[in-house]
Amino acid sequence: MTRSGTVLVLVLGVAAVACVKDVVQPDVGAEAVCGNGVVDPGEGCDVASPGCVDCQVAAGWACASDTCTPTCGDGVVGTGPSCANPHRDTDCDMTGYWAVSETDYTCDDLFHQPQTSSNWYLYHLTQTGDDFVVDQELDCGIHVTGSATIDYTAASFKALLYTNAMDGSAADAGAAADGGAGVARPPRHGTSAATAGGCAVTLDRWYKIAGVDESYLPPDFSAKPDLSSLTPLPSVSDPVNDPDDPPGAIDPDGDGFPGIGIQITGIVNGLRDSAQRNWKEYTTTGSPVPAAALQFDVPGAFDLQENILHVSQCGTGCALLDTGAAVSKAPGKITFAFVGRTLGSARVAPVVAGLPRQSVAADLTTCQNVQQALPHETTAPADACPSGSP
Amino acid sequence: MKATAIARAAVLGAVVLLAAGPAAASPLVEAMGAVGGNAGDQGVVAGPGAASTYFNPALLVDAPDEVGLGFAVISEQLGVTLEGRTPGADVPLVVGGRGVTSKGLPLPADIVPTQWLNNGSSSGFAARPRQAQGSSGQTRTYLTLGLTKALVRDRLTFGLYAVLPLSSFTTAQAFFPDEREALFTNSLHPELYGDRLTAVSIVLGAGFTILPTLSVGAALSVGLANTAASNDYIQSASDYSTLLLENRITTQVNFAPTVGVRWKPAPWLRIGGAVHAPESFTVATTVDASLPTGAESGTTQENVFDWMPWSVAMGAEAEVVHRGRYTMSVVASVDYALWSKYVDRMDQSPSTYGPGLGFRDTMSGAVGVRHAYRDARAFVDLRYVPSPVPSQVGRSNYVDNDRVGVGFGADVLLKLLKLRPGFQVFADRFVPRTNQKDDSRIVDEVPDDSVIGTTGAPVVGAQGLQTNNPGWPGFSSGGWLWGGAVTLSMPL
Repeated sequence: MTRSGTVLVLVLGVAAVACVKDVVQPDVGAEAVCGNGVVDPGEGCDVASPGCVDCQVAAGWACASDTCTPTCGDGVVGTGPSCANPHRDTDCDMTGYWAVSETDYTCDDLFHQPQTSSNWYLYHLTQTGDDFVVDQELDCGIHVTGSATIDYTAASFKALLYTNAMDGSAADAGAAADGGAGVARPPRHGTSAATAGGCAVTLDRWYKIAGVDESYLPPDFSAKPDLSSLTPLPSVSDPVNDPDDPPGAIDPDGDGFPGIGIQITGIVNGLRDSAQRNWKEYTTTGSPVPAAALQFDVPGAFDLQENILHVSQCGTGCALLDTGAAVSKAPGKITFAFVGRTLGSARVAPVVAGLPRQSVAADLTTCQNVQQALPHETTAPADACPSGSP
Repeated sequence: MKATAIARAAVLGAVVLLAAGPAAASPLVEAMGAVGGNAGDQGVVAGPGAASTYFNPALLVDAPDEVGLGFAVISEQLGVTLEGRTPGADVPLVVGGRGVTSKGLPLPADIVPTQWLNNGSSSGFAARPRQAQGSSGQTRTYLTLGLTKALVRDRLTFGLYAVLPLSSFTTAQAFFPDEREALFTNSLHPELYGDRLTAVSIVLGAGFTILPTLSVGAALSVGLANTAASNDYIQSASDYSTLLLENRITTQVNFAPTVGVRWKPAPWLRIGGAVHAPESFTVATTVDASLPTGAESGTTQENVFDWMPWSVAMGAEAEVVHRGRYTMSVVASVDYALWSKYVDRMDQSPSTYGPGLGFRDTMSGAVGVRHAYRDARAFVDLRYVPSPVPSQVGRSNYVDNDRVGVGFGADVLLKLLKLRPGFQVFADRFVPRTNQKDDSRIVDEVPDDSVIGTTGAPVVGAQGLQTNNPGWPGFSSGGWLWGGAVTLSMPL
């Protein structure tokens, strides 16, 4: 090699050594660790349950991130020891515990963008003939996503846990103390009847209120009055600055402001207290649900009224919180997920922490399980808020 | 008479330093050293040449009249190694549902699940793996221009020195040096290099001979300051293609001064000193947004690029060998820089991150020798440039290293062609350093008392520290800064 060639090689060598790259070292302890509560790669589950053996799902069980439930038994049957193709042991009888999620769509008044709302419940249904009623119920809260994210505050969640009772019990004591009638209504009614191709399912219209007393509910739900025909909800002229406490509004969450408190985050942030009223009803008209299905959807309709009474914790963006939403023309739905028949059974215990309405703590745990069983859907139909709608 | 002249010069220098506002910066010139003139890394006293306009304009009185051109290259190879994360520190996925609260309030909306950063989310959040968008490892090219011309022989000499980026002309990349950067590049970036090596640097100055042994000089670095205003009408928060946007951008010229002094107490000894005023390139951005409801909101934020501190440089060059037409001199210089006043790209002082995290003032230095034989010259310099950045034990992730390096170069005057070709190269080692985080000084993005807002259920994985800080649990850095130039000057 000539001297110039040697020099060239040396220069290129130095240049190569002097070119460095960024490096990210592997995470420490990234290998699977059975028993750490995290489903690591290679694990089927990592939870303390007879259905999770050595972090693998046992035959006849199904495991989520924090619970395992048997796929057969207590109202569920399948094929073989592994309970293949599990389904309910009755075609259309709805008797048992159900995790329920109502999904609805609205269009916000700010950007006219779709908002997807989930409202969760625990139902226990008892069916006689083709009719069933809700005889145990918990209102497990809401979660709304879209141009902003909306949740009940913890106090609002607890305040509404037993309000608008669908199980035939009286409304909660808080509503009565604030002037509500505390009226016991007949339990919510539905039907599930065998039909060609499956089961025809309906769930009667039910009216709900929040942040107002029960005088704002129609006396007879079966009459199906329009919301616009009912006593107008309490309102204030300036939710940003008006300190008034309008007649009819109550403060069930005890946050010091009339109305139910809602935490809003995202492109706007703050606390909104409002008076709310809605109704929802569902029917499988023309398209039955599969018989004996463990989970199915029933399309529905709803209407909504909301008067914003106060906004706070919003800095300079309070005006943005003083905007509501209109009902989308996109149809909503209710999703039923079968839990089991018997309180305390291997299927029901991982979801229902105790007989509803006996312990607030147990009911909050139940609601958490219900929300995990039916995750919030973040997407809305493409035509949920077309230009010019609703 | 002499005292009066010296006092006048001193007052003039002080006025020049204090009157001008911050201007665009010369971190590029500082990193590259003087190009041409046999000055190397010690432009405060060695040379002289066109580069003296920036390093010490008082030396211009000793510079020959000439115009010069150069092609330079700098390769910045400051690699970053992020340590692997330890278990339990990930922000849980449930936080992405925005339903998690702490002490009754939702977690801030800028906290996202770690899994989103690694893999993206189904809702459209793009993946931003750690250090996937690092900005080091760049090699850039430049054009250098120089001019020295005696306007009044032996009394007043004008100088111009410019370094113009060729491959990336003045880029400015803002980034957060803390956990907020996870929302953007989720990477660490060299604090004092990167985009700072793309600033156009133009310096104009003059040297004045006051006494036969004493001269002073003054120069101005020419730079830019921008303001940008954006008026937006937001029709849809989820479809920004419908955004109505009007932008107004204005640019103004700023000047940052340098004053220098040159003293030759003996024919074999030259002493030089210079004071550089702070420099920066600021961009003030105002955003005013209108919504369909009539609500309006606005803010102004300022980014600061290419910040350079007050600095005082001094040096001495002593001729130690003089045999016939051969001479050899030794040169030494120091530079004290007030980095403790540093303002980062987000217009914040590093000291806001807590005790011991503010930058510190530095004293850098260089030693070298100069040779001259007939019309040929050569130099060799060794330099040490300490980092002003303290150990990054807290939220901040300022990446910087001490530098030690060597530079050498030579040129020769070809009398027949009336040209002086030359070359110079340098190689600096970024001394490897490791930063280990103190967990107690890291923001716990998911407090231990976090609950699911609706049910009050504890958030699994909230216990202990959860952070998306890209520099956690520690990082190290090291590498090279190397480059060189070929020059051609023509005596006038």
